[in-house]
Amino acid sequence: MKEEILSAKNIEVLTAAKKFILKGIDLQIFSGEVLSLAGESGSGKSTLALALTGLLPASLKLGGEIIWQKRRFDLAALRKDTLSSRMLHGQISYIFQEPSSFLNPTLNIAAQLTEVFIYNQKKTYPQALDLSRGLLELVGIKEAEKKLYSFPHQLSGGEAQRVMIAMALAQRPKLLIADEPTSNLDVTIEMEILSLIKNMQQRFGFAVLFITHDLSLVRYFSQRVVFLKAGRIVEESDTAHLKDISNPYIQSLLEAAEALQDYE
Amino acid sequence: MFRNPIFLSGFFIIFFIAFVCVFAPFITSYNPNAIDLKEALLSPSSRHLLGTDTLGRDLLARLLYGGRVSLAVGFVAVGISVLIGVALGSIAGFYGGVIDEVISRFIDIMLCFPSFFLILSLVALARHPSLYIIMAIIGFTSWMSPARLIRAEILSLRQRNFVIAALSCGLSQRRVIMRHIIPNAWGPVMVNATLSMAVAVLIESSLSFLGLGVQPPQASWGNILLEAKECLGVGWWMSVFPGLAIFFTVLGLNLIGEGIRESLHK
Repeated sequence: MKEEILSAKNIEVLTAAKKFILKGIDLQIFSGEVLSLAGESGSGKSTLALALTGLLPASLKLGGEIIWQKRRFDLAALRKDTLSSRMLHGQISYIFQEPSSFLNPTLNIAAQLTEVFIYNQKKTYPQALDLSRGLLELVGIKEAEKKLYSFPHQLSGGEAQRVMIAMALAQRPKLLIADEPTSNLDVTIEMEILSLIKNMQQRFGFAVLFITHDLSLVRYFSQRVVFLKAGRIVEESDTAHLKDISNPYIQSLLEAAEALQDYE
Repeated sequence: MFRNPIFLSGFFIIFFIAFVCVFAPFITSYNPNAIDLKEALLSPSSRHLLGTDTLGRDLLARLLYGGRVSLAVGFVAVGISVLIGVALGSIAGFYGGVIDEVISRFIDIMLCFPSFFLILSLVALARHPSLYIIMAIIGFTSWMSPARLIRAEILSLRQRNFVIAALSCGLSQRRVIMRHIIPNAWGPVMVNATLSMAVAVLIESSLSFLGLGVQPPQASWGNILLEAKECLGVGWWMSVFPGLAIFFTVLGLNLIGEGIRESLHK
């Protein structure tokens, strides 16, 4: 059995009106694996992604705990403990859907990429700039030198997502949480971005929590999948045996994915 | 922004006024405080372009040097109020909870006082206030609206994706506030600052007009008007020109504010 790097226990998220968004979530992620988190929209996938490191808005109540590399963190306490959350955020990176909205519109790419190197890794500015340029080339951005000095609105969606990946890699993460990283990109770029994430994962050996509603991507991308419905985990399985699951919810998701493929 | 006609017209008015005030010694050779009773109450002529006042001082010189005072008060007072407002507003907006509650109620309390009368009583308490005290008093009584503005901006910015992304990179909260939140809240604050600079110029003029602001013989637009009030019938120039100066300054500042607001909404 592989080593467990993150284990979540009994994660709960409630709205201010005491309505459950997530209830009793237990989750294990092993080092170097790709775990998919699938479910229909509104099932709480993105909320869970953010909850794992306490990044939720303060208006939501958060409970449960995670064990990250053998250290225990109480999630409710973590939100107030800035030192631990910074440590955690330094090792767990995120990429999101709508990448361009996750870049600060008032700063150019160089300023945002070098920030991580300078403030978290204590590099000098010229070093940080070299590292950033190298990363942009690594994630396949053409004319990296020019793009360093571009602002987010001058990038295409695919480029913005590559920049986000570069930013995530800058922290040398042990776990990458990818929240529907391709849902706003068109199909050809979708495959490019996914194979980029896969390449980087194999090269640097981090684990990936891949969040999606598209089961065809789940099979392409991961070995294990967890299904979420209405804030609870309903099924866990190897991606190879998806068809054998009798749960009607998963069958309907599978049919939806197949119908979509036929349509395309 | 520099293509917006409203902004540009305001900018040129203010630039012109500031320019002539700053370079006053090169524009007029008269000393603004030199009394010459033989020359008293002269109407505008080629020797005294805007005429002279009851003590024979050149009105143009007094207007220009007084403009320095009025503009400086406006500028510094707004600087103080924006500094306090941005600091308190961003702390309240970002941290929320009890901190937000305390700061917001404090803002509410400060807003309860009619600001001009608060300023009047503070100035009266200070007896013979220096220019710096007047700047400070105006600044310390007008930080509430930038504070509210920036708090509201930050409440919405804090939920924005790039702020979550910055936090997820493990950057410190202070750095996220300074580098990712405040720069994005800057637009509305700039609009507010230019508009309140116009208000600050007006407050300074009103204070000086009541004899509580800048003390003679130092000139300011307000106390020139105060002296002009005595001889409204015989020396129209003494009240018209400083009035026009205040009018155009306030107009220019309002145009700049409006121009920035328009270009932000594009």
